[in-house]
Amino acid sequence: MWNFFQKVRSNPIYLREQGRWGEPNQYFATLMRYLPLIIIVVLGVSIFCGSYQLTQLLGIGEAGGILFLLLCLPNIVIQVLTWIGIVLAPALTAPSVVEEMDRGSWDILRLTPMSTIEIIVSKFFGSLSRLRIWRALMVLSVLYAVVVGLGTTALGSAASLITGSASGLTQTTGWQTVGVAVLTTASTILRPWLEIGFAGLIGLTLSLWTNSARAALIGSYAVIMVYRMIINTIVWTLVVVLFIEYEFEAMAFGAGAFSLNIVYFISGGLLFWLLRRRALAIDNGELLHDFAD
Amino acid sequence: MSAIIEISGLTKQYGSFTALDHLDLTIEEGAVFGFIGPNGAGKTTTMRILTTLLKPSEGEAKIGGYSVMTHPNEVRRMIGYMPDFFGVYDDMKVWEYLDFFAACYDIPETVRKGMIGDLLDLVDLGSKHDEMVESLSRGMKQRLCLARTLAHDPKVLILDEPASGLDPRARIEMRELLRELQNMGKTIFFSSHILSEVADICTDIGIMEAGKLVAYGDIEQMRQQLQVSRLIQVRMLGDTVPLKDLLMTHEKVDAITDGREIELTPDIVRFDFTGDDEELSQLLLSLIEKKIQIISFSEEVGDLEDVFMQATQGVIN
Ligand SMILES: Nc1ncnc2c1ncn2[C@@H]1O[C@H](COP(=O)(O)OP(=O)(O)OP(=O)(O)O)[C@@H](O)[C@H]1O
Ligand SMILES: [Mg+2]
Repeated sequence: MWNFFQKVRSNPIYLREQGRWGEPNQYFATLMRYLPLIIIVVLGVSIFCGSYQLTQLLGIGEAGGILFLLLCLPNIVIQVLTWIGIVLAPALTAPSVVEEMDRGSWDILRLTPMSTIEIIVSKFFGSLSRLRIWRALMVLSVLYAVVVGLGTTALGSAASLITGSASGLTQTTGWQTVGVAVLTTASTILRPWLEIGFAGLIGLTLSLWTNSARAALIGSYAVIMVYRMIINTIVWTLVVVLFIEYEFEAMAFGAGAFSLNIVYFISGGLLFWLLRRRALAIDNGELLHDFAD
Repeated sequence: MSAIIEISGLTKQYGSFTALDHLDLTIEEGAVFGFIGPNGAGKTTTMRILTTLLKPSEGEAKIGGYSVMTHPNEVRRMIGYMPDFFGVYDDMKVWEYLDFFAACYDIPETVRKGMIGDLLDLVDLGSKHDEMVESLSRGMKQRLCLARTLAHDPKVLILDEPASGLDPRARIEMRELLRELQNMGKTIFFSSHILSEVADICTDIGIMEAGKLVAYGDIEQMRQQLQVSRLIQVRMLGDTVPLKDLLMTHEKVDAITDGREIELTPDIVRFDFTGDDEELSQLLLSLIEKKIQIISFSEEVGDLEDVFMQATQGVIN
C-alpha cells in the first residue's frame, strides 16, 4: 500500500495534475478565483446550521447555542473544509480524463508504458492533492475526534448515573458508552475524507463516461447532491427506526454517523470497481472510440 | 531487409458497418509507406489498430514480430504515434511538453534535458524552447508533436495525416523532416489524402478505398497496376512539327497536344505515355539523336491525381 502510494507520487501524471508542467485544469483555476466566496458561503451555512441544530437538540436558548458554537469551532472548521473539498474535488477530477480525450492527448497517454488504471489513479490522487486542506483536516479531525470521544464518554457516564437527563441519553450502560465513543470518534475522523474522496471519485467516473468536461462537472454536482440527500435520508430513517424503536437511543447518534461512513466506503469501492472495468476495456481497445470524434 | 509491419486479414466492424475489410499489407524495415485514401477509407482505423488503441474484429497485425493483440506493451515501446489531431497541451511551454512525455516513458531527468534540446533542433524548434505551446503556429505544433513521438526512440513512426492543414512551405518542411527521420533508420507509416504530395518521399504507397487496399507498390508499379498513362511535357526550340511526327510513330505515345491548344506557349508539346521509365528514357534519347532541340522534358506531377482518381473512383460510383 505504502509502496503503491510512493509509486503514484512519482508518477508523471500525478505530478502533471499537481501542476508541475503548466496548468492542467482550467475549471479548477477558475473556481479557485472564487474561493473566498465559497468559504464565506460555506462558513455562513455551517454556522447557521450548527447553531440551529444544537439549540434544537439540547433545548437551550440562543445564548447557549452560541456558547456551544464556540466549543464546536473545530467542528465547524472541519465542516467548512469538507464542503470546500466537496465543491472543489469534482472540479479537479471531472475534467481530468475527458479533457484529454477532447484534446486528442488521451491516445498518446495510453501509448506510454502506463496502464489506463495507473493513469486514472494518478490523475485522481494528483488532482486531489492540489486541495491544500488535507493537513489542516488531518490535525483538526483527529483533535476534534478526541474531544468528541471523551465528551461522549463523559456525557454517557453522567447520563447513566442521573436518569432522565436533559440530553435524553437514558438507557446507557457502560459498554454502550464505550461503543458510542468509539463509533463517533472513528466517524469523526473518517467522514471528511470519505465525503471528499467520494465527490472526487464521482467526478472521475463521469469523466470517463461523458463527452465534455462541462457535462462531467455539472453531472458530478447533480449526482453528489442527489446521492447525499438520498443516503442521508435512508440512513437516518433507518437509525431512528432501529435504534429508537428498540430503545438503544444512546447508540443512535454514533451508529448513524458510522453507517454513513460505511455507505460512502462501499459506494466508493463500487465506483472504483466500475472505473477499473472501464480502464480494462480501454486497455483492450474495446471502446469504439474516445469521445473526441 | 525484413518485414517490420505485417497485417493479415485485418477487419474492423463498427456495428454492421465494415470500416476495414480483410486488409493485407507488409511493410519492410526502413520503408516510408504512404497510406493514401479519401475520407472514411479506413486509414485512421488501421492506424489505431496498429497502435494497439483499437481491437480488430478479425485478423492479425504484428509490429516487429509482436502481435498488437497479445503483446501490446512490446508494440507500444516500438512505435511513435501522431494522431490526426495532434493532442498538444496548450498550457505548457514547448520544452515542458517534451519533458512531460519523456517522463511518462521513464526517461531520467538528467537525460531528458539534453534530449529535449536535440529533439527541438531536429524539428527546427530550437528557438522556441521557452515559448508557450499555445503561441505556436499549426505547422510548429505538428512538428512539436512529431518530436514528441521520437522521445522514446521508437523504430516505427505511425503518423496520421502529418501534413494536413499545412501551408505549402510547412508541408515541404514536414517532408524534409520525414526524409531526415528515414535517414535515421526509422520506418515511417503515414497517411494522407493527396498522392502527389507523398509520392516523392515514399518508398511504397498503398491506396485505400472503403476499407480495402485497391493498389499497392511503388509509384511505378502502381501506374502499371492501374495502367495509367503519364503526362509528359516537352519544350523545345524551333518548329514543333518534327517532334510531333516522331512521337506519332511511337506506339506508347498517345494524345499529342500542341501547347497552343491548351493555352500554353507554342513551343510546348504534351503527350500521354504508357511505357515505364526505361522506355521513356529511350524515347528521350531517340529524340535527341534525331537532333530535336529539347529545352525541357518533364513529367507533369498533377498526373498523379489521375492515379488516385482512377484507383478510387470505381468504388465511389
Ligand atoms: N467509432 C466509430 N463508430 C462508427 N463508425 C466509425 C467509427 N470510427 C470510424 N467510423 C467509420 O469508419 C470509416 C473509416 O473511418 P476512418 O476514420 O478510419 O477513415 P479515414 O480514412 O481515417 O478518414 P479521414 O480521411 O476522414 O481521416 C468511416 O466511414 C467512419 O465513419
Ligand atoms: Mg483519418
